[in-house]
Amino acid sequence: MSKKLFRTASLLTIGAFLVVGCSEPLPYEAPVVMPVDSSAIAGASPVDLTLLGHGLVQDRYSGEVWVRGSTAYTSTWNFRGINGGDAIKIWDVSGNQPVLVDSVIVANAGTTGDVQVSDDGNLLAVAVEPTGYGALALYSLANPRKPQLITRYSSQNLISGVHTAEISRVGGVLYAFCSIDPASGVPAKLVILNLTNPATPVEVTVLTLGAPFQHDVFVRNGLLFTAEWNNGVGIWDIGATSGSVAAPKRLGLLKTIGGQVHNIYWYIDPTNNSKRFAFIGEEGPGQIGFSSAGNIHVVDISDFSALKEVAVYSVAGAGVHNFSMDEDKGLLYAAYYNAGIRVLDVRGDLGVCSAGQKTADGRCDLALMGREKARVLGNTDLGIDYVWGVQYVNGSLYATDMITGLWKYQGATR
Amino acid sequence: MQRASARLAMQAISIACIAFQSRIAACQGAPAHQTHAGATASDTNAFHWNVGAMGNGVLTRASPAVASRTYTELQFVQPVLMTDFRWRTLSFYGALNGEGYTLKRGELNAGIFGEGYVDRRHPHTFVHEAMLTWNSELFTNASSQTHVNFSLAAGRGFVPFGSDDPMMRPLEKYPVNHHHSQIIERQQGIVALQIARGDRFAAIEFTRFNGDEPIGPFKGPRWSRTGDSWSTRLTLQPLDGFEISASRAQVLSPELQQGGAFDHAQRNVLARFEKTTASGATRYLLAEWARTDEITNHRTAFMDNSALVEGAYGWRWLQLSARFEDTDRSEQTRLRDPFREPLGHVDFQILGVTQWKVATVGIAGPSLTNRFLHATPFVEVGRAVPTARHEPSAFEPILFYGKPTLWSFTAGLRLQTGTMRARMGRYGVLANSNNIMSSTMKGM
Repeated sequence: MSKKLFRTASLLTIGAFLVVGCSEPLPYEAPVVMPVDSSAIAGASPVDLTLLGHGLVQDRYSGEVWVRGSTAYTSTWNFRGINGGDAIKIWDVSGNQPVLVDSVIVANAGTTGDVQVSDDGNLLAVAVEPTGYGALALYSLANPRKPQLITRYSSQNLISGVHTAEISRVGGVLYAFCSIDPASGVPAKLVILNLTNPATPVEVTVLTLGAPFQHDVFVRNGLLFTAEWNNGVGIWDIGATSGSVAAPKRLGLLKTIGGQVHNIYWYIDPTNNSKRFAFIGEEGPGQIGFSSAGNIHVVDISDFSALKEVAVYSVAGAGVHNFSMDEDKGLLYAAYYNAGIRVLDVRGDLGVCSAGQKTADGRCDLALMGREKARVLGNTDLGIDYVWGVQYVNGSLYATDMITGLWKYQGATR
Repeated sequence: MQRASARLAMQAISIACIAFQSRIAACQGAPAHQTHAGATASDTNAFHWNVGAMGNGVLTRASPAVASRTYTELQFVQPVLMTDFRWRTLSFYGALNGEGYTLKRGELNAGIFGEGYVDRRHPHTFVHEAMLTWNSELFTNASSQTHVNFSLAAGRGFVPFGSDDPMMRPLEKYPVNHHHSQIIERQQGIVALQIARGDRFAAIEFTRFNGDEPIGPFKGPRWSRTGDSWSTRLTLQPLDGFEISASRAQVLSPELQQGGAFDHAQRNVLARFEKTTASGATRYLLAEWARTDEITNHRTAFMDNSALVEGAYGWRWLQLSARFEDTDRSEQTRLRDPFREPLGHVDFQILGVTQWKVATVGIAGPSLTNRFLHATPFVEVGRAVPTARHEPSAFEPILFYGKPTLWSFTAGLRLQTGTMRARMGRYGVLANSNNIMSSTMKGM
C-alpha cells in the first residue's frame, strides 16, 4: 500500500502545485493608458473645446477647482515627492490665462480634496484629510484673494478625515455636508454642520452611511443625494416636505450597476422644469495618473420609491470623476481622468432610444445616441493629462489636471 | 483596560519564566526528542512542554529612509515569549509578542508594508499565536513506516499559507513580501491530513479564518467575520529536509474590518531545504513565488507579484545569510507621517505599483552562551532599489526617497533563552520535530 499510496499522494500534490501556481482563475484587466474614443463608435462628431489658457502646477498634485467671479481656488492632493496636499492655490482667472496669485497652506493637511465657496461669496470651505487630522477649514473671503482662516473645525466625528465637503443652503440656513473617511473598524459617515456662525460650526446630524465609503452629496431644493459607494445612491428629504436637516428622511436608494457611487448631479432643465434625471459618477479602481475606470449612470428619479437606471455613458479604458453643468444649454461636463473631459448633451428624454442605441442590459447608451458633443482628450504629451475636477462658470470651463494644474477652456455650444 | 491587562499578563509570564529558569536548567519540561513526521513517540502519554523567550536589540541606519533623510534608530524588536505543550493527542502552541510596547512606531524596513505601516514594519499583536490541536493517527503500518495522520486545530495564529514567519528565518529585517507570503494572526479552524512514509510525506491543510487584519497590537478581531475567508496549502516532502508547497487563499476585505475593501486572492509556491550535517554545519535555502490579486466586483483590479530566494550557511561559529527579492507594492496615499497609510485604498485608487528589488546579506555569530542565555551578535546590510512598475506613476520613488538606492545597515544582538520552535505556523500533522529550534534557524 505504502509505496503506491505515497506515489499517488505525491502526484496529486504536484498536480495541485501546478494548478495553484499556474492557473489564471480571475479575469484581470491590464491597465489601459489610452482610452478608446467612444464618439467614433456612434459616428458622432464631438468638437474639441477651445483652449484659452493654462496655469502650470508642478510642485503638488492638483485636486478640486472652484471659481467665483475672477478668482479660482484649486486644492491639492497627497504627496508629490515630499510636498503634501496642504495647499489651496489662488488664481486670477479674469483673463484667458490663469495666473497664480497666492496660496494658503492648511496646517497638518495631507490632502485638501474639496474646496467650495458659499453662495454668498463670504466663505471658503476646505475639506481636510488625512486620518488623525480630519477637519473642515473655513476661511473668510472678505478679500477673495487673501482668505483668512476663521476656524478649523474638527471633532471625533471628523477626525478620520473629511473627504468631501459641500456647503449648501437649506431653508435659508447654510450647512456643510462632510463625508467622512472610514477606517478599519470605523464606518464612513456623513456629518452635517450648521454654519450659521462659521466660527463655531454646530454638528446637527451624523449619519452612518456607505459601504465602504460615503463619498459625496448633492443638495438642492430640500433634497439630499448621497453617494454611498457600493450601497448606491440615496435620496433624502431634508426640507422638501416633512424631513429636515436634523432628521433626514430617506426617500429612496438605488444600487446602480457596478456600484462605486462617487458623485451626483441632479439636473433641473430650465426650459421645461424637468427634474427627472440624476447623473451618477462611478469611480472604479484606478492608478492615479495612469489608469481609471467607471461610467456615468443616468437615474430616473421621478418616483423616489422606484428609482431606475435608464442610461449609461462609458469610455473604454477610462473612468469618470467630477461633474459640472451648463443647465441653460443642457450640457454635462465630466472630468474623465485619463480620458480628459467629455461634454454630453443631456437635454430631453435620456431613457428613450432605439434598440441599436441600447447596451446589452437594456440601458440607453449616451455615446451610441450621439450625445457626446465636445471633449478634451487626455493623456496628451503637451496638454491636459489626468483630469480631476471641472467647473463651468459664465461661458468658461475650468478644469484641474492632477499633473499639470489649472486649464481654462471656452464652454461648449449646443 | 485591555492594554493594561495585556501588560500585566506579559509581565506575569515573564516573571514566571525567569522564576522557572532559576529552578531548572531551562524552560523546558521534557527533552526535545526526534520524531519523524507522523511517527509516534514512545511516551505519548507524557506531558511535554517547552518555554522560551527571545528578543533582538537592533541598531538600524536607513539611508535614505525618506526624502533624502537618513534615520538611525535603536530598538528592541521581536520580543516573544513562546510555549508549547503536548499531552497525548493534544498540543498547544502559544506565542506572546511584546512589539506593541517596544515597536509602536514600527521598525525601519525599506519597502515593507502592511496594517497601516509602510517602510516600517508594523508591530505584531500581543497574542501572536494560541492554537490548540488534536492529532489522530488514522492508519499505520510499522513495517513500511507508513502513517496516515489527521489533525484539527483551532485558535489564533498563522493561516496555513505560504512560507514561515520571517521572525524565525535567518535575517532580522523582514522581506517586502511579508503580506504576500504570510497571513498572520487570525482566528481559525484547520483540518489537515498527512500521508507519511519514513521521512517523506504529503499533507494538505484547509482553514477558515477571519479575513480582517489586526488593527492594532492589542485589538481583537471582529468576531462576526469568523470564517469568512479560507486558505489551503499542499505540502510535499520528498526528502528529509526538503519540501515544496503550494498555497492558495481568498481573504475578504483584509484592510477594512467592517468589510467593503478589496478582497485578496493570494497564491504562493515554494521550495525549501534545511539540513544540519553530522558535523553541525547548517544549510538552508528557500525559493518562493507569491501573488496577490486585489479584487472588487469579482474582477482583479491590481496585482502584485513577488519572487524571493534566501539562504543560510552555517559554518563553525558563523552563519552567513543572504536574500534577494523582487516584490511589487501597490502604493497608497500616506498620512502626515510618511511611514503610515490609511487602511484600504482610498476611493479604490492606488498611486502606482513600485517594484522593490532588495538584496540583503547578514552574518551572525559567535553565540555567547551561558546556562540560561544565548546572545548572538549579527550585522546585516540591505540594498533596495525601488522603481515604478508603470509610468507615469503618481508615486515616484526617486522623488519620495530622494535617491534611487536605499541602504540599510543593521547591527544587533539576538537574545534567547529556553526552547523556541524553529518554525511557526505549522500545526497538527505538520508540527513535527523540526518545530523544535534547530541550530540553523536560531543561528543568529
